Amino acid sequence: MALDIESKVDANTARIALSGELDGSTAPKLRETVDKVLTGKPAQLILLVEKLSFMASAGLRIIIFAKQKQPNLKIYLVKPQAAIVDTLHKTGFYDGVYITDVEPASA
Amino acid sequence: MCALTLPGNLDALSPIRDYVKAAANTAGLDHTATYNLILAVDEIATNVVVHGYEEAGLQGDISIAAKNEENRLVIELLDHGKSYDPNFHKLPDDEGLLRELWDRPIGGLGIMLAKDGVDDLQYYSTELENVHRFIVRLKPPAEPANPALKQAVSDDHRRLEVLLRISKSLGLEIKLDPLLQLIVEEVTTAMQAERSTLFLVDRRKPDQLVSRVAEGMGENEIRVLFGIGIAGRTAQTRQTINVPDVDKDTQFNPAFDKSSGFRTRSILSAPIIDQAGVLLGVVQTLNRKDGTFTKDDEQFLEAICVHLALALKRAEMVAADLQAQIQTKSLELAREIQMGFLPKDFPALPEFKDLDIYATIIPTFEVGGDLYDFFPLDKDRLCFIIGDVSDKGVPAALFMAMARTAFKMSALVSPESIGGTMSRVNQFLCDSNPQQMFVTALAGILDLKTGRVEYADAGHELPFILQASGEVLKVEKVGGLVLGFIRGEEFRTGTMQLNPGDTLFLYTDGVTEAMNVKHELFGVDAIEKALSQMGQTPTSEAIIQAVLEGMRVFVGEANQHDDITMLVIRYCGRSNN
Repeated sequence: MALDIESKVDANTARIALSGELDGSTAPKLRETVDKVLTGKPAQLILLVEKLSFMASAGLRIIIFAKQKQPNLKIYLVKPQAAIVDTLHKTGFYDGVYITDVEPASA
Repeated sequence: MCALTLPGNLDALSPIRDYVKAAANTAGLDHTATYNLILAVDEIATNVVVHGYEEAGLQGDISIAAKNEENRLVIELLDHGKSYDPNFHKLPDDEGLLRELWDRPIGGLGIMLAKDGVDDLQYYSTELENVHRFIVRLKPPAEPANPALKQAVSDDHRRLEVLLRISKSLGLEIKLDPLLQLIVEEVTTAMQAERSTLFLVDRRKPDQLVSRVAEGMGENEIRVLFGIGIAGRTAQTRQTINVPDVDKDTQFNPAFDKSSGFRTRSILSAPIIDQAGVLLGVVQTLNRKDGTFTKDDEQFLEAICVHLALALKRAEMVAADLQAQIQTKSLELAREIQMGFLPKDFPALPEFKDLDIYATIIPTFEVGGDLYDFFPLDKDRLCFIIGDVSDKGVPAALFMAMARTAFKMSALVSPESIGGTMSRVNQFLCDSNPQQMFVTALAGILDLKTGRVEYADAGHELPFILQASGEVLKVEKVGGLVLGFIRGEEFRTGTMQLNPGDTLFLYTDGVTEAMNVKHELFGVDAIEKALSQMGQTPTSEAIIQAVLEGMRVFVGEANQHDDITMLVIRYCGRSNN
């Protein structure tokens, strides 16, 4: 299963909706998107992941990539599936990102 | 489930996940366990593709197979790329995980998720393939009506099955490492333990145990001195030791827990002893999940140890047998090569009607240090040599080959005098003789027109001439040192006369020094006697057969202890043509 990526940037907020599976083969495409949306130095990156059914460590690396690029960036994960939350817990990412069921408004 | 094989690139990840999902569903794993297993396999498959194939510049397949065993699901991932051992990889430590996200080292996370997602992640690499094994224990079926009784029965039943499986794999699995791995896994499963370790006695340091299979320790080797810790105590006392609570046992060595982060609660440890009573190792199983190890557990582990001893002994025997086969094969090959360059098709030189030549060589070992050779220098001259290298076996055979080649080259290139030829051979052998071997040799050139023989002697047994009349003469010594001994030595040329019908008999000391059971030597006189009984005009072959027969009768049951070589040249005379 592939990964569908939709992104838009408004005001200080970048939004990326993901649907499908994020693995080693699909991560490069997402990384390009993140790279692109971060060029405007948004204050927050909102990842809409309700329809993301699988995330490998390649997904974690993109979060690291975004944070290394812009340390003050606030990253939100909206409606992640339980298994993905579990992965974030295990790897210590849970405290580095905001997990929410409600999509935040633009900053 | 049928195995699935795909090209080793990132496009394989998605079908691999689908395969694992189907296998997990078949095995009845719940949603979380299924996801974790898929994640584990995906992470490792990604590493295989990225590090094992792409970064290594290699191409190949990746295969996945699921085995639904009685109480566990095993997923095997096979590849042919660069070996990439997940257990050897450094996991992010606590400090790394606590760092701010942007400060994180990248890498190691995937392997951490992989290891975390299964009960055991094993890895081994052979010349043929790399194998990752993901093991997920399945929940036991629902509790039966009479739990205690049924549990006991099913325990016994399960263990019998485990023993049966191990016995079966002893017959099937030839490679030792996968077999030991499998047995250790079975121990953990059957014991309801958390992990097990197999220690073997270190051959180089026989008072130490070294881990051979250590679940959860990756490639890290555990070394234990006899007498120290529970495993060390087991080795020293050769008794099974059952420790229900390590905190209450002063023998327990907590060092390994400290370094590995594992928490040991209970230990069952048993010695592996072979049929001859030799201690081979110790197997140790840790933390029975539902309490402490029982008396039945002890007996079961001891039964497993018998199987382990068998597996280890068999592997030892297979290795020794293989070694012996290689050795025999290389000796056979060396002998073939050596014999290949001695002329041994008789009658030899059929175009020389005035000659009847026969030779035999019977090496003691598969290869020997004796040599003979004969070849025409032109249509009127025959060059010949017989020799004996000071040693036996392969080094002597190599030296013999070198001496023989040097002689032939030298004789063919400048055949003026046989003494000069011997001097050049001596020089050559002195220059390439690190092992200080030497050759005794007698060489000559027979002029077929006149029957005159020029010869040179390098410390060799003197030949006999069996005259046409039946009289036996001993050739005179011209004197000369052995070849390869003293640089610059000059060899003198002697002469002897063969008349038509005369036979030159050359031999090595394997003939004269053939020994009977009373340690008496066959001797020069016996040769002389045998020759003198040949009568008139025997063939060269008949002479050799007669001497061999004389030796056979003399030696009787005693063993041959030196190479036996004879070269017989009968000069028929030009006038006979």
